[in-house]
Amino acid sequence: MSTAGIEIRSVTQRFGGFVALDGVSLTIAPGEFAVLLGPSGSGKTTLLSIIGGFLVPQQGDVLIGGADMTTVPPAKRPTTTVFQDYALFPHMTIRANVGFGLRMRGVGKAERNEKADAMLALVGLEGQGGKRPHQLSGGQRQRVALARSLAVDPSVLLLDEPLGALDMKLRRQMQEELKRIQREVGTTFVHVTHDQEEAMAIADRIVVMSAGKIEDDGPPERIYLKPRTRFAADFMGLSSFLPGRVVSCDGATATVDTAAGSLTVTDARAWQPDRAVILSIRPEHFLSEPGDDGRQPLGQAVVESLSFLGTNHQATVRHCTAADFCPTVLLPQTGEPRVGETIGLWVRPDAPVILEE
Amino acid sequence: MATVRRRGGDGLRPWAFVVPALLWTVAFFCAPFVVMAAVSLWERVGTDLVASWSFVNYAKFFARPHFLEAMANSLEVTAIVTVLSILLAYPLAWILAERVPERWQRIALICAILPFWTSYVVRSYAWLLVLANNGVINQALTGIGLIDEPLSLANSRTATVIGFVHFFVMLLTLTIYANLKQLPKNYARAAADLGASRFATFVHVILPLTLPGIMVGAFLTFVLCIGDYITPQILGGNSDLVMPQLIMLQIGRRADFPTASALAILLMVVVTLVYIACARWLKLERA
Amino acid sequence: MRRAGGSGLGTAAAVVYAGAIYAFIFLPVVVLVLFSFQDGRFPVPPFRGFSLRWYEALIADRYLTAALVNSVIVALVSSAVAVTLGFLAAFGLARFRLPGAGLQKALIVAPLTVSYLIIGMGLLITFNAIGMPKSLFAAGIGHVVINMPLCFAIVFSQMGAHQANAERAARDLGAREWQVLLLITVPMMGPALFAAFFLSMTFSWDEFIISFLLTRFDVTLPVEIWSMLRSGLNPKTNAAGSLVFFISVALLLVLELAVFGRRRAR
Repeated sequence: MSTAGIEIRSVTQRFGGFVALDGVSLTIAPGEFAVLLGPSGSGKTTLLSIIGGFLVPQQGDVLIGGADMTTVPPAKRPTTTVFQDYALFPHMTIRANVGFGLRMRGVGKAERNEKADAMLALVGLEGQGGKRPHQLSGGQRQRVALARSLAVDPSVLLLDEPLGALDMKLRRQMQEELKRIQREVGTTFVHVTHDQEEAMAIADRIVVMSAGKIEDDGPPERIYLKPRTRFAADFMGLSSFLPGRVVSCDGATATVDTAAGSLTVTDARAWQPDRAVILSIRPEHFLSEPGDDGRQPLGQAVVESLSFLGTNHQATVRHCTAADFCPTVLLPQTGEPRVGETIGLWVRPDAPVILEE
Repeated sequence: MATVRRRGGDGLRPWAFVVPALLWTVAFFCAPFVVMAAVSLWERVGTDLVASWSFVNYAKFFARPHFLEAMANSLEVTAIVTVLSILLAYPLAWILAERVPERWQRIALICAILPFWTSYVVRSYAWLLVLANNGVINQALTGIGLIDEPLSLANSRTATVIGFVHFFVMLLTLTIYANLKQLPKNYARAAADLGASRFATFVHVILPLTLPGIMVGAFLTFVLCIGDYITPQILGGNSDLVMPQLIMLQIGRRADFPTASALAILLMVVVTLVYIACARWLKLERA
Repeated sequence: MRRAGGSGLGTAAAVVYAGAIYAFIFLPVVVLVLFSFQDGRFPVPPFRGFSLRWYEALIADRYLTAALVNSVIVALVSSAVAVTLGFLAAFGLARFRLPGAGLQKALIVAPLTVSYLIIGMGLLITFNAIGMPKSLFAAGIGHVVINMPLCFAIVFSQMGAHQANAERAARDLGAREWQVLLLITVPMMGPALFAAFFLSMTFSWDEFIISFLLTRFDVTLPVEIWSMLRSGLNPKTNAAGSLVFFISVALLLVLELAVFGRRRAR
């Protein structure tokens, strides 16, 4: 199986007055499972179309495996695409669908049937080659689309929200399958989704996009724990934002003054004193009792609403002194919290992330 | 995902798909029409056609009473046929859509339009068999002693109208049925739920919702009916001519293409005016 | 479906009404077919007994059988041309952004709004002017003019995003444009193309005025039947008409079983 890296060099694409991509540059390493994550209109699908060759960007270049592919049509690129609606050919058998790309490349019937059956085995559809698309379930069609795209040995596989049409349980199952298949074939996968849980579950690398720009780019853990922008923090799971001003910094920590009190945060950057910043804190990083792990008090808050999530209670609370600060916090499963109850808040120094205003 | 690639574009290739059809239409539809329009400004003098470029043939239309009569006959027959066909077809379509069990509907509909598949010429001839002096109806009526002398049903405007109505009842039943079936069932249910009687539901909900569809069917009926030569020629005979008969008379008996062209263009003008009226009405209805 | 409030009286009225209209619709056809078996010289009551002699006369009539063959040829060829041109135009206009696409569509469907008589006359005058003789070929051209817009409209209305996506997937997998057209679009559009072809066939098969104006020695079946009408009411004409009816119904059954039967099976 082959694989290739991708290099996007300051690509810009406008549709009428709408800027879909605004000078985007991105490098994806060979064999990487990259996920383009963002809300609709963020430009992620446009970027995928440009990598696949369905769209020629107005400015910028696309390199795949080091070769300039900017204006090369889809058929001549080492890429294939798994489409959102699968686009299986309804009048062909599953085997003929999977073998279609090889047929276009002049591969003989026996050989392409053999390859098609091998691909079907890879995606867990042994012995289904004689059926037609309408006889399969949604999840199975998804697998056929995957097998069809992989059958021609692409260096890069592009997936356009491929799991969007599946129900939640099937979706989780397919995510694991996708990851397994990607490890097996070693091909570079570029996967588009708006579902941050899906992105975290499958990606080696997440590219968060918004309004035609890349907001953040890195491994899932880093993006979740240390997002670079407020958008990335907000889009990747729940986060509460607390504005403040930098009081001092020493190369290892920074101290920030907020309406809820002063916090020292682990941060190596050199902040200018009095710089306006925002602290981003995940719900599970709020602690409701003191401890000896360096956690700092953040005042008190009143529980305004509660929902039980199974593993935790999720509460929206209103801070007693900073009335504009209404963070979402996770409370222990067994705590039996009540609306109207006043709780204390503590935060460890490594939990908050300092974001530029 | 956009299907269209940019930068350089698709070039001339897409045109290769469209050009054959366009060329055919231009060569065998537009060009003949232009030729016909040109010929309508010529004149037939003796046995020759003279390119006189005058409106004399159009003037003739307004000067000769039997030309104007033919237009009046055409409009009258077409109007009667259109109204009668809708009035007869609507209840049948409604019965098919609402009162016939679902699994029988398709077969009932196919039966209702089965005679559609006789040849158009044959259908008119078949009505001649029914309406002739010694035909089925007259023999049946004299047989039971209702009349002594046969009624002259054939070769009359009545026969023309019957022949047309027969054809268009089938056509309109089909279109109105399709229209009724695509109405969501919940409209009628909602009306009934709010206390409307069946009659009120029909008048206030079903009828207004199917009206645009009926108008399309009515226009189709109008166009096909006013342009038809066969039915009036076979069933109507040689009295009370309609426009297509008059046009064919110019071509057949006298080879007078200029007059025939002028009459054809006048007929098209009338159809176009009705089309504009229908289109405007439909637009208003939707707005 | 049984409904609350459906009175017996209403049902009776519905049955009577539908029965009356059905009788009206079937009356001429029944009379036509019945008296095609008349054992006598007039296709009017009384029915003098069952005979196939008029059908024999039909088969013996060389003009009529020739006209039947002509009709089939004109219908097949003109429909094939009409579907091909209509399909290509629909594909071009549905898949590419062409300047003046609205105008092109309007031009292609324009013949639908003009009566056959006027189309036939325009062609007659034009062919006269360029010295082209009357022939089946000329009539066939006319039939393509009236049927291509229909084929275009049917195929265009069925060109959905579904096919467009499959075509894009095929291109992505390396198919060339002609391969996309032949291996993906045509098979996926199969039912629509078949319906367009079939409808086109029936219209051509049944078309009278254009053939009447544009043919002379070799004529189509409706034109031949028309000339039979000059002999007045005649059981042979009944037999010819009945035969056309039987052929059409047989074709209809084929269509019903081939297209709709298959669709239901899915």
